[in-house]
Amino acid sequence: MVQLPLKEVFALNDIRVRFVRDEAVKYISHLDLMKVFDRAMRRAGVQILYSQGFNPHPQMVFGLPLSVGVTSEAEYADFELSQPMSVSEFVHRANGQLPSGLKILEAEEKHSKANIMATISQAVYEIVVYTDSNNGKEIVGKAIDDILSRDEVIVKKEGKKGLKDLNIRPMINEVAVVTIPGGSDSRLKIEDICPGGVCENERILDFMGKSPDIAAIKKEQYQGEIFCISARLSAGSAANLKPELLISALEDAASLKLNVIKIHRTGLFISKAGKTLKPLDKEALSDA
Amino acid sequence: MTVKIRHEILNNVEKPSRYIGNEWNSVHKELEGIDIRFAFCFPDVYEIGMSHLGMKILYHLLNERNDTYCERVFAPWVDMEKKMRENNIPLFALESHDPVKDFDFIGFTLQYEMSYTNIVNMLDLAGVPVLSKDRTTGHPFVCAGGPCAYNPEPLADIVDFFMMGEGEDIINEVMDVYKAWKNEKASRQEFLERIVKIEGIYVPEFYEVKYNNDGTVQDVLPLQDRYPQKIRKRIIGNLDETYFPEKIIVPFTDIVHDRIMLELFRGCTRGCRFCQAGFIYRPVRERSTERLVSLAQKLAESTGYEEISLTSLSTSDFTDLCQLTEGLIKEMEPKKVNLSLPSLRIDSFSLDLMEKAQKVRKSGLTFAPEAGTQRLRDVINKGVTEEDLINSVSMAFNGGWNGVKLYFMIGLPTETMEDIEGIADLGNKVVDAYMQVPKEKRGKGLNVTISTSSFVPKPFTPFQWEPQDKNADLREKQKLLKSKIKNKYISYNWHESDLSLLEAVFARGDRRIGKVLVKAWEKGCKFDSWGEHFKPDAWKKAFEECGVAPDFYANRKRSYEEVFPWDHIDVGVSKNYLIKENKTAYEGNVTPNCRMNCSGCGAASFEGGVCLE
Repeated sequence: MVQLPLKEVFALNDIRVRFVRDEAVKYISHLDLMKVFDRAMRRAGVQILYSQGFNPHPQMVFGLPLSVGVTSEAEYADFELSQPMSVSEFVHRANGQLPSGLKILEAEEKHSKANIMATISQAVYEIVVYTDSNNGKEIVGKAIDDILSRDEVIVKKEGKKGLKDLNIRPMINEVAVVTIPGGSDSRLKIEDICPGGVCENERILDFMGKSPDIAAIKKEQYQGEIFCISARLSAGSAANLKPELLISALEDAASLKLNVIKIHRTGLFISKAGKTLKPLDKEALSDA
Repeated sequence: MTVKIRHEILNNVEKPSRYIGNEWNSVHKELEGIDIRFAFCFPDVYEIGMSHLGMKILYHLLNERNDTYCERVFAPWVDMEKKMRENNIPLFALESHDPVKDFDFIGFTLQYEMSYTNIVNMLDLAGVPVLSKDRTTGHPFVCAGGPCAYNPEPLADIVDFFMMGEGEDIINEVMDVYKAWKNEKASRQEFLERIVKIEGIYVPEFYEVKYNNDGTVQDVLPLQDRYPQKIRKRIIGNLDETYFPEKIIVPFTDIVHDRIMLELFRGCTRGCRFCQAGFIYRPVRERSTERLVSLAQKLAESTGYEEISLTSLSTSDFTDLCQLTEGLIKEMEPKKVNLSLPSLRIDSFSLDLMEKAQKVRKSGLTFAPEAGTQRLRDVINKGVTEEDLINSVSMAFNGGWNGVKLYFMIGLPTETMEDIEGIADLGNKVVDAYMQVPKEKRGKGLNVTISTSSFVPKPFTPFQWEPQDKNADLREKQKLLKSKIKNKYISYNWHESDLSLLEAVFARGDRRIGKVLVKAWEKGCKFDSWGEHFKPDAWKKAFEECGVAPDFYANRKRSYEEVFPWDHIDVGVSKNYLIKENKTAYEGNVTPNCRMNCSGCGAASFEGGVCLE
């Protein structure tokens, strides 16, 4: 009789979820986040498969870790269950025990061996900035055109041996300026990120109303502009561009200080057989 | 609840998760219908304060009241404090991010003397006058409780009232009185007059301290007849019936003790003569196994914690330990919750238990002989013989353990250089015991760590009359010990003595020390128990400028006739008993534990717990 690999014997269910990491929990670290899920699952009575050996840990894999202080509505995680459970039951139970700021929005059963961490290729960010110039959006728009026209965009990146020069141009896929309603008009840029170049993202609009930073800026007879820079950047183990570095490059190109108030990830994509897919697309979830 | 502190600030400090609140099981209430806002303050940073069991109990207990909203406050770390001061952000509570100066109560828990500068700092950061006499209508009442409150005098100028003893009942009684008082809009004085009638409440401004010419206390006198001569601590008679939270906050971030803590019992029967906790928490009162297992189940369900631990002063003495651990392992294992064991007396039962319960590799075991010779161990009433120790380590080595940590104190009363050498001898004997075990059985690679700290005499112990060794003497003893440890398997750690000296001053300080405390804070002292922030020079200057000599408090031998600054506090154990114990110590005799033989310490006057067995 052939011995089945341990995983096939015990892992009865693989579920992939997309969840939100909101304002209330944006300062917790990636390790903290994993602990939060571990404890929430235990409360929820969801049996996660544990590894064998001296120090058993739960079999959960999270997609690209977020920097502390960044929110996201496109966080992904894969869970291996030791007791089968329907996807809807899983989501219902988990959401009942996740602290405020974390919520599962979508989930599917996964039939692929590939884990979420290994296949990430791109991420989309909305970066809310303010400038002191009352012409900020236009200046930045021009800077974006400039950057996209070049082959090389050099920024200084902190490495193990100090500051290094890094060419980030190959990792920039799309960048656009987006108006947040309440400001003035802007140019149209990439339609599929923010239709009409105007922000419709619920979470960002909500943030504008509740953020103490925005309130503080507006208090001081503010002359500048608050707007959003939308960007689709390379992400994952092969090549990863943090949005802060893009901002650094734009500041150089625009000769204008860009104060970042919020970074919000709105999308995460994986690469499979040369195609760019969303992690919960059918194709992404099977090995076919 | 949205985080009200700007991202610009939080994103630029270490561990911003310290300041965000919103953890699972944290309590959020609407202010409508709330009569009392209580800011429960732990005078240290989040990771330390969140590990404190007392806060967990009282936080949830107060929040059970519909009329009260209790929120947590921790000391902001130095980087956050700097930003707060720069941006005019006053000290805020974690749940609402509201400034604590608008609350009804600011309550501090006094767990260790070296947290006192943080108390001063937090009041200042809150915008509340540091001195009690400067507070008026509209300011919160500043109160305090906890083990250090039994000698409240160093904080007498700062704290409006103290709650002596266990807080579960007394805190509710104070809240009830407050609610009525608030409705009537009476004066601050009136509130204090009303609560002083509650047993266990000490209002320092209602008492006067008279001093003798030699600087010792002549008397601590109530200013009016209606104030009690002695303030008697409160205890909870039946721990099974008293409140214990079935939900506790699960922090997002790592804290020092990140697990469910089950409180097995309060007090201790052993009567080790250096140990304040063992005396002030008497009489011993245990929880039943049924109650504990039930609590464990509820807490596991409500928290999802992966670890549960047992807490008490001497867990090996818990009467029903075998049944309890069996019951817990049975209930917790299927839930994938590990039992984390505290320091246990090492015997075949505990070794077996550790093997069953601990999921990690066998690494180190801890022993606390405290003194290097039997003579000195008898003086301090630490009932551990060399035979016990060697038998225990042998058993452990036979079972595969290969790491041993030995804790000792130096500067104990009657100590001689022979006793110091005895520490090294014990270390050597432990190594010998390892060598006796056949190579195949014993774990690979032995390491024995000897760790010494400086003895600090504490109030309400038989050693409260004793002088602390002077720094120079302590250093000489450390040097001697180091020179005597020649074995390659033994490493030696010791703790610096400057901090111990300060601890000794505050532990047995009187009201005059309060001025030194404020002066030291003005000179920038805070987070004193954090090595990188401790400023011994600033403290030295503070003492000089206040004209106070630290060695009067730390290094002076007291006579049995001396009146102590804390004599007006009644913890049950009588001063006469402590004198008797002090004499017995000097005779080199031991006192058996309460369960074997009642020695009449005075705790029986509470008519509870082990005294009735």
